[in-house]
Amino acid sequence: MTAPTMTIPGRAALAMTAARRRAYWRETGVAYLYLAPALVLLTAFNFFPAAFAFYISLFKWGLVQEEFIGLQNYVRLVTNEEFWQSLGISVWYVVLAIPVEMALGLLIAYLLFQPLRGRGAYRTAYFLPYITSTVAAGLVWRWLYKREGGLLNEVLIALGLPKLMWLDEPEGVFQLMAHAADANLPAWLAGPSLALVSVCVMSIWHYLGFYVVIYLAGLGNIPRETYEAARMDGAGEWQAFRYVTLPLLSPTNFFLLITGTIGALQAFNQIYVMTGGGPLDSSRTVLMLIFKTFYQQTRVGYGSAMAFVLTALILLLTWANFSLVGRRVTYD
Amino acid sequence: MAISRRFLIGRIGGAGALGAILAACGGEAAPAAAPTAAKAEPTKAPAAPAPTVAPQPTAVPVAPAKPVEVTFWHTQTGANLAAIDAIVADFNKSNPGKHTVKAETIPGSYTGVYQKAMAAIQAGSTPDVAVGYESMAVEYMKAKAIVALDDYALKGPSALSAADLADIFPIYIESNKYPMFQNKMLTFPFTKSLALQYWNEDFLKAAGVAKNGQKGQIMSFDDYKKAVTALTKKGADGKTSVYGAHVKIDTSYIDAFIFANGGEVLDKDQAKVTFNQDAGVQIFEMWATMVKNGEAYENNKDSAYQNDFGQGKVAGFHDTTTGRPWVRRALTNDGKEPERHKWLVGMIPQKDTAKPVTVLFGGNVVVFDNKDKARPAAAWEWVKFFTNKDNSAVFPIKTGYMPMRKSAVENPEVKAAWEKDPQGKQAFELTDFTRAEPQIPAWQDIRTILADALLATITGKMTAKAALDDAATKANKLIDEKK
Repeated sequence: MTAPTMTIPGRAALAMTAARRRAYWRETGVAYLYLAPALVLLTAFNFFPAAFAFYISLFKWGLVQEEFIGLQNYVRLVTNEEFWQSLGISVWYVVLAIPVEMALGLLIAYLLFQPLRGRGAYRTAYFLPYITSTVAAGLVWRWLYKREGGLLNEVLIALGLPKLMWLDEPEGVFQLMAHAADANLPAWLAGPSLALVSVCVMSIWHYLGFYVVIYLAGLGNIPRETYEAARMDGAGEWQAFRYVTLPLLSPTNFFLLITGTIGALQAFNQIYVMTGGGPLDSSRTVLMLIFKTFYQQTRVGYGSAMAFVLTALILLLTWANFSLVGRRVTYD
Repeated sequence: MAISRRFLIGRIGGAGALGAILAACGGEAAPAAAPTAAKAEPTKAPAAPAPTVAPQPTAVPVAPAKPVEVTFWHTQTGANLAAIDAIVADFNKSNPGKHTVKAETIPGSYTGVYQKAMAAIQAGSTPDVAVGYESMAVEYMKAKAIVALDDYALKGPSALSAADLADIFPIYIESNKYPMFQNKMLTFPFTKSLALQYWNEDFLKAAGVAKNGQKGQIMSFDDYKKAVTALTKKGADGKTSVYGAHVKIDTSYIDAFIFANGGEVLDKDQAKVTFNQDAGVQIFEMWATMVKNGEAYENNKDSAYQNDFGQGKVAGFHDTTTGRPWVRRALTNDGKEPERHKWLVGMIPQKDTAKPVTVLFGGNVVVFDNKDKARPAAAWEWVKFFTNKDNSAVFPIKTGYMPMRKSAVENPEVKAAWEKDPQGKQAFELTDFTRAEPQIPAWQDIRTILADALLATITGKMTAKAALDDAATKANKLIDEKK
């Protein structure tokens, strides 16, 4: 059977094309109309300030604009030891916080996903820290970490252990362990300061609820049939988790890895409240350094350059995550 | 949970842009509470260097022709706020010019005021008067955002009288003149205090320490070291039960001790730091040795050492005179009990006990250069009212700050207050021996560097000389960058 050949007069074809074009523009116009509020807000509060910050970074800029210095702020940054030291601290912060948050988040979510009595109450309890102000929580944790009379040191004393300096300890944790064994490590092996680790513990406590909720949503999205099929094939609990749950949670893992890393690199409130970047700059992350450059040194141009380099590094890290981890993610 | 690639990319793009903006804007808004108490700030450079900024045109004071509402940004809360509000109410009632004051507490200490002022300067909506430290005033002046007060305070229709100028301790005027701006008076004293030594008087007597730091009994550094050793008590296990001293990790006190040891922290040209010379090294070594020997300790967080003093765990410490109310609370269990022991404040130890010196620090006010020239004039009226003979005497006794006028001693309210607070009088009597700290733009950061050097020294991470040399290198680099 052959399809009938249709002959359309030229004028009618043109009319149809014009109608399609109108429909296209109507549809596109509606789409842009829907997008407009978000675009306006993003432009006003994100894109324009970002572009303006880049403009500032090309100037010597204190409280007000001074001379144009091109890329000098960026050049100076490359040789700024403080910046690289702070970047190292930021990386430690990410390395310490994100894997623990993800592992604990998954573990707790998996347990809460089981038919437990009072499951809702547990879920709420784990989520509560996340909706607590980081400033308020940071102040409470600072009290817990107090050298004299702090809860943690009181517990250590009750257990017959020596007190720790917690937020006041600039020494690396590996070095502290080595000291306990009467050994000494080279500086590059000293590890992150106890102060930074202490802040990380607070951050993990604070953000864990978010990870749990996202993992619960991810677990809920795995079709039951998949588990049933696995069980029919003889899979036990561990095998079902290893070969069904984990692969099907890969988009969730990837999402949390990416957003968690970005968030951790932008961590500020809890560090500012708990240590202020100290002691001896041992918890001064890049964002703390940027803040200090802005508000203590009033070097707005230089601080903007730092912000842009930090953003570039975040994008680079994200790209690396996409390249290395993203291809292993199963979306279907 | 279904998460698409597009969703992820969108989320990351948003987060990236947000990162740039947050970072570019200094991250999230700074929390209201700073992790440490507001620090005293540099006040005055030791010598006048060559001017680095072109002279500002001399403003002509304009008497406000119409009522002006003067906006005043400060940081006081609680009882201090009530004391300010009372003076504001008096001004609004009694001021003949009929202009009024609207006082506003800005959260986040002086740094919070500075951050808000930074934005206000960009937006062209500055207040008329704001509190600030010297380093902030320098930045404001570089941005031509404030007026020099010489034109209002020293000349013009509302200038301070000769009697006023004779009444105000000279340091309070001199420390507000800025060598890098042709010695112009950019600030006026607001909440000032002195760096002094607190002693447990009972412990001094029990240990047979004769000198206590008050006039005529000023300790040399040798006296001080012996006193700290004598006051330290250790148990049979060798552990310290009462420390002789506390080491405060704060640059104002480092400066004070270096000055007292005959040293300087900046050279005459204000181009290089000098705190790493002998006077500074000796001070750091003294404190490090005391800590090593278990005679001194460091517990600065939340001013815990004041509580330790109240509990009799430390015999003496150096601190701001503003700490008196907190010490009293620690001694009396928040006013519920009589004071556990007698105490006093005196001068810090000196190299030359005949010429003692310590540091005057604390907040000042600046007057912003409003386009409407009547506003700075009205603002000065408020500053003048706030610091007149009565207010400058009464406000300090309600807040713990130091009176800036000699006549405060005759004020009946002050006399009555000093009956209950003899330490306030002891401190006041040492005002003549004060000097100010540097006021160069980089000093705010150098303060952190120097404090870190002390921490590194007393924790044994570096020797005094190495820590100070390292700090000096960083500080000099900052001075160059901030020129």
